[in-house]
Amino acid sequence: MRAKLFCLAVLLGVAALAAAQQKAETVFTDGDVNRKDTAGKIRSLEIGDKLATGESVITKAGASAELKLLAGSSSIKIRQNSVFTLGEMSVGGTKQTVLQTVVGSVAMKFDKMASAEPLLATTSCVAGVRGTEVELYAGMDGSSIVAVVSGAVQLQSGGQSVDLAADEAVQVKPGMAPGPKFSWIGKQLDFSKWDQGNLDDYLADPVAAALKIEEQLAAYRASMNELFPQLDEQKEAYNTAFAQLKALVEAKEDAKAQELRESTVFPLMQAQALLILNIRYYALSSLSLRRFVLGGMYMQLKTRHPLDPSNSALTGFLDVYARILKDFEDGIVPQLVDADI
Amino acid sequence: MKKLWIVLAALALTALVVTCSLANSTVSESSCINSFVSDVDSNNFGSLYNTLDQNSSYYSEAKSAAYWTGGTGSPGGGTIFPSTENYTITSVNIVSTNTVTATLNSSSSILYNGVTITFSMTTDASGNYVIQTIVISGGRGTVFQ
Repeated sequence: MRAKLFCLAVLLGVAALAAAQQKAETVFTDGDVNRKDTAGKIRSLEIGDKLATGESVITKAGASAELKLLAGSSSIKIRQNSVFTLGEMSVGGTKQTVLQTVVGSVAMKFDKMASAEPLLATTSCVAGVRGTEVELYAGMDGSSIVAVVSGAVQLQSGGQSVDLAADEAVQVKPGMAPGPKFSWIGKQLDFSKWDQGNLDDYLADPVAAALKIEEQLAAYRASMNELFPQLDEQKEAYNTAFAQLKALVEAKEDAKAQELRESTVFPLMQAQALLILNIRYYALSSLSLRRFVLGGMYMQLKTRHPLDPSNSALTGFLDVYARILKDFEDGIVPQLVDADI
Repeated sequence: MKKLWIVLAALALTALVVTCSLANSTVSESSCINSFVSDVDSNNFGSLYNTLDQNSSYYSEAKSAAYWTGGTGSPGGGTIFPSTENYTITSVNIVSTNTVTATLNSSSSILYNGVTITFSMTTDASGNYVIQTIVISGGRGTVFQ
């Protein structure tokens, strides 16, 4: 009887865990929509496909997709020319889903009954939500607009935070604090028009735009670097606890050894895992910024000056670009794995 | 007529060989777990990913031996099989088509002393069994998902 109950508990636990790693299900696709899985493979996204943490949805021109979060009934509408990623980070020792709009525009509606609402992010900000319907726009230059339809959002960027209520919106430039709040009641936010403005501003001063990206990447790297001393401390604490555990096992103090395993050694191992999760979050956010935003900026400028490589705007941009790439190689790439790249 | 029989027999034999080879080409649940166990027993952590579900969250990280033995690139598990000891997995029990349990020990019985390790299994697009999640009991928690 006890064995049967154990088997049932194992089966139920495993089923729950397997379901928990799947974060969203595809309920609609139109046009050319791809998924990039955690192995780095890109394939077509089909209705019914379930997506796990670490996967991305990429929509081409004229295409769109809709996902449903498996916890609750929250929906995510990904519009054309967007890259959307299901990420994960540790907040207060608990793993939390991060819905990241890397580029493009995404509308999200969260079910109030959902047990733990996820974090929202673009390459320039992170936001917590409460019973919210929200629109996220991520521009070609790394700028973002977060617009609240209903509920509330607390947004953080550049070390500052701002609370947004229904019908309020804010624009965030990469590496900067949130801009002033504005009301968007009665206005239709037009992503294409807004992003054309971003492009015009970028082309008018590409060096300034590249410097903002450099600032945002520096912020990610600083957040990541803050975690390394903590990780070293965790490792040292683990080594100390392991030495104590070894002494107890050698002294055949089995009960005390088991208690130390469960109360100290295993939790320290789990704490290390959460720190590494956050290091990876910052590294992957940096990769998205470098690949989809900085890469796009490079192409926009390069294609405008094919026969004029000495153009001052181009050379100024390329100087900053080369510096960013070097910092990226030195500081971020060691935290990435082959499949990321 | 005799030639026809020979041709039919050859066709039947070919069909049988093809069917057998197709049947043998998928990885069974026990074969998948045995491969994982064998790699752990021989400290071959860099090959463990061959038994894992490619759609799992930490598949890309788990391709590196560092995911299992510690260091960076192990967001889901942290240090799972640190190099301070060797590890063996015994008493493999196929509970169902999607659950396998086993007993995990470390060589000096310091870190793991007869703890239960539970694998949730799934099949990939080709019908091969792969490991979707790994949980170590006793408060260690989920080490791969």
